[in-house]
Amino acid sequence: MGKYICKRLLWMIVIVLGTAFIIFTILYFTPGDPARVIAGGNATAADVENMRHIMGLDRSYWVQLRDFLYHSFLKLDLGNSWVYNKPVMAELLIRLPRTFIIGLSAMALNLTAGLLMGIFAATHEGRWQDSLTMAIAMVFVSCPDFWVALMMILLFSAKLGWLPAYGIGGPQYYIMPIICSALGGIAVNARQTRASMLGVFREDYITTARAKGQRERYVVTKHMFPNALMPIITSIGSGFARIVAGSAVIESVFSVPGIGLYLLTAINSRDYPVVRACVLFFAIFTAVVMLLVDLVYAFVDPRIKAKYSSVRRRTKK
Amino acid sequence: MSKQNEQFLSVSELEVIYTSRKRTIQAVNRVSFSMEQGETLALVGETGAGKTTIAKAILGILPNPPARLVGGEIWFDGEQLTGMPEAQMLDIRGGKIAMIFQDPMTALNPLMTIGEQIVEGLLLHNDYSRQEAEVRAKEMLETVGIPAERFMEYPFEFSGGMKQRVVIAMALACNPLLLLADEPTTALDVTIQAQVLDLIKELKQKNNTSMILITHDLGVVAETSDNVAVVYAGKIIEYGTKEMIFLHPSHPYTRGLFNSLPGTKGNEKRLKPIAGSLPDPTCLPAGCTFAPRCPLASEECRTGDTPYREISPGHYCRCCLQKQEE
Amino acid sequence: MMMQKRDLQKTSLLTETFQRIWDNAGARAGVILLAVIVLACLGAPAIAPYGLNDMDIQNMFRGPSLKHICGTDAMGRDLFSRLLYGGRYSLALGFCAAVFGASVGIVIGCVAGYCGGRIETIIMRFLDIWSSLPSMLLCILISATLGAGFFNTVLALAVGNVPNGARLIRGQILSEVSKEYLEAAESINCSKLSIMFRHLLPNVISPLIVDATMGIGMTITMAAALSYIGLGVQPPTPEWGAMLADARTHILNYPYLIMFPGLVIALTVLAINLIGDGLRDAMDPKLRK
Repeated sequence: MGKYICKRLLWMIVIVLGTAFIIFTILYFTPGDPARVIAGGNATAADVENMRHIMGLDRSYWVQLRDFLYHSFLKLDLGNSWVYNKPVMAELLIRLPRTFIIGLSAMALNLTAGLLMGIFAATHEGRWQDSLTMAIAMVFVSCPDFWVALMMILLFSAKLGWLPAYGIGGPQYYIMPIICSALGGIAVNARQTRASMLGVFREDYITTARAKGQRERYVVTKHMFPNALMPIITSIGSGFARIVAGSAVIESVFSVPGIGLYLLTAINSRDYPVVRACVLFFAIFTAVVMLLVDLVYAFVDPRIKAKYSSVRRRTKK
Repeated sequence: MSKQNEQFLSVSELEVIYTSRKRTIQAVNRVSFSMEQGETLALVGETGAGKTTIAKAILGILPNPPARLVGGEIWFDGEQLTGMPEAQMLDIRGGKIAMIFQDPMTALNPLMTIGEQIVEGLLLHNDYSRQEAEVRAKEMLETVGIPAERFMEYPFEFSGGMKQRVVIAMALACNPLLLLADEPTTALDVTIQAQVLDLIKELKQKNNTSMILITHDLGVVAETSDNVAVVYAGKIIEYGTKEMIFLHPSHPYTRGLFNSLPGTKGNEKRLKPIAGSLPDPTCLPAGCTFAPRCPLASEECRTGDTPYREISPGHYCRCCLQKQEE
Repeated sequence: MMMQKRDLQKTSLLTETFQRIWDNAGARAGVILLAVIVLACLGAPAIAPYGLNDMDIQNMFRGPSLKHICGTDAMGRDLFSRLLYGGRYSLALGFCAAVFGASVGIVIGCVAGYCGGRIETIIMRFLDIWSSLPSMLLCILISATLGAGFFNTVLALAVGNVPNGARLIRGQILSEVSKEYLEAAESINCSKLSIMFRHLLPNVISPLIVDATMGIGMTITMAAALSYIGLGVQPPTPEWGAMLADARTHILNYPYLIMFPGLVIALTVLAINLIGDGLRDAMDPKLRK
């Protein structure tokens, strides 16, 4: 088991380094001259040259890349924002909790609501409860999340005045962002759970369990659900990625000063250090989630656990 | 004919239909038979004849959306199973009547240890504590030839034959009065088949368990059963003791089954299968369902009602061409 | 002889698939809805009551009325007409990006699946890195890099679709590659490339079609989201997301400016998803007999 974890960790490092390389390269070749932007509209050519030297942009590609990787990973220094001249890392850490709260809560909502809806639909297959639940899921997944966000602001802030539309503060500021982030994922989870449960319904071991005289309720919870869980765990992982990516848009609508909004503003103002830092953060986060999902899989499914378990077991047969 | 509620098992006029999309399929068409305690009855027939459906109907585990029991009565040990409230049925299922299924590879929950699966059944039907159930489960494992240390292992760690033994252990753990065995050896190698059959016979004798053995293998029938019922297209077309059926097969279908067995003398050039195939269950032919394939069919067979007659004491046949013997 | 037989099978498969989709109530509704939307947008020059950029300064910010079905915007332009014209952009973006992404994915997946060995491992690892970034994020980055504009946005959107399609195809190929008809083809000296495209592909394409269809819906949403946050296609182009961006500042006073474009996006994506679902059910081999 330990070997497996080590392998995956190693692979994760490769992925993060690869992502760092890609993002650096993309930004390097982006048209437009950051030095000019930072120097300002009134700068002379000499000023721009000067600025370019200060920012270290006159060095070769490989030197800049090496510098970037060295500072980011070995010294954990993500540089200073070109626009504010403040350390990026500090700002990231301040904004982290907000994005996390929205992301994790949305994920939790995703899971509970999605699973319940899916199980409900599957156990009532073919009847109106099934059709209704799936229709609701279909509507959820079709509406663009930022549009729903705008409509919710319209209803709950403008018309009813129950919830604040912008900013952060107490829990009431987070309610709408969390719900909007979760909607798409709830739908996907519900559909996935339903499909998974229906697949398990027809399995022989379910008939065996019934033939033993087990109550239907326990057949569902003890036999069907754990087996249906496998594909669902995978979609949890990708659900997380979805939410994380959507955070940019949601934070934009609700003006939540989180990492997503940080990224967007930085893109618009060509603040490359911030862009690189945010992208790296998202990449690491996604990779960690994927690793956790794989580990959960390995723990839950005895077949996979056995593959990576000690050799001792195998020689026993 | 003794009263239904006095016989060990009595099935009368059982009718089961399957509805799929817009079609209705008559899977079991007014089947009647009965059993004594300790007896082994073999249900023989081609795949799709309705044998498994009969067994599932007895146990009350017909898959409810497509299948429905629409007629007939089933009496077991003095109680009527058809129409019994589910709570009572749960006690009988797995307790007094147990079932083992055809494919051992998929019959066990891959995420539960085999020990846990046996214990589950034990706890449902007995007042054991957890420890007592585990002890009993380990006993059962030993009885079927699996070392008790493998109690905590998962199904994927066992071969097909051993999985089937686990299934048998699971079924017999609560000492059922009646065992329904649905082609228990079909999915296994021939050598393992023999072992599993012997095991079943041994356990049966020890506890005087009655058994309904569903199979399409006449060799297995010869080895294990007392009585035989031949099922064709949802009806029993011949019934009798093993000797009667093997030595005096009367229905053309039964005769065809025996004729189609490759002989051991080595002088046969071709197999002699029964011509044609099972009729389409959505539109069964009028009259005798076997008539389209029967080499002896007459006009009366195709149109009239084929009566189920006792052609000799204890030997029944559903065929117009049979005359009362003796 | 083999080609003829397969062609015959393919046409009846096509008609069978269409029949199945039509039978499915949800999918049928989706087809009709999508047809209405697509036809309306394609026929914009004929149907739209006003021009794309006809400004009527006197009539700014009018709510829905008989003269302007969906009202007018900040510059007095008729919202309904702009929605129709904008639909061409949004639908085209979604469709092109999904198809382009799927095609690239197919090629990569085919190569990986059929070649196997080290090539396959390298490609799959590369795809892993590619998909380690959520697709929306990738879109944002590439769109920012390439700048605004139609083709740049198509490229940005397509990039997210590639790894999915590639993985799907490769998985399908892995399960097909052991089948015998490929050995047979190899034994009569078909080149590897020809085998890949003439024999393998037709058999593995079904799940990909379903995936691509759903992808169109997602891509349209992402295109709108991109425009909304200021990337991708920008105003004055009447792309639906861009129109939402325009209306953002007026949300409190003129909510209809937000409601209509978003509603149209939702309906289009809904229609596409219904069709995709119907397609998936129709192509499910287990339901085929």
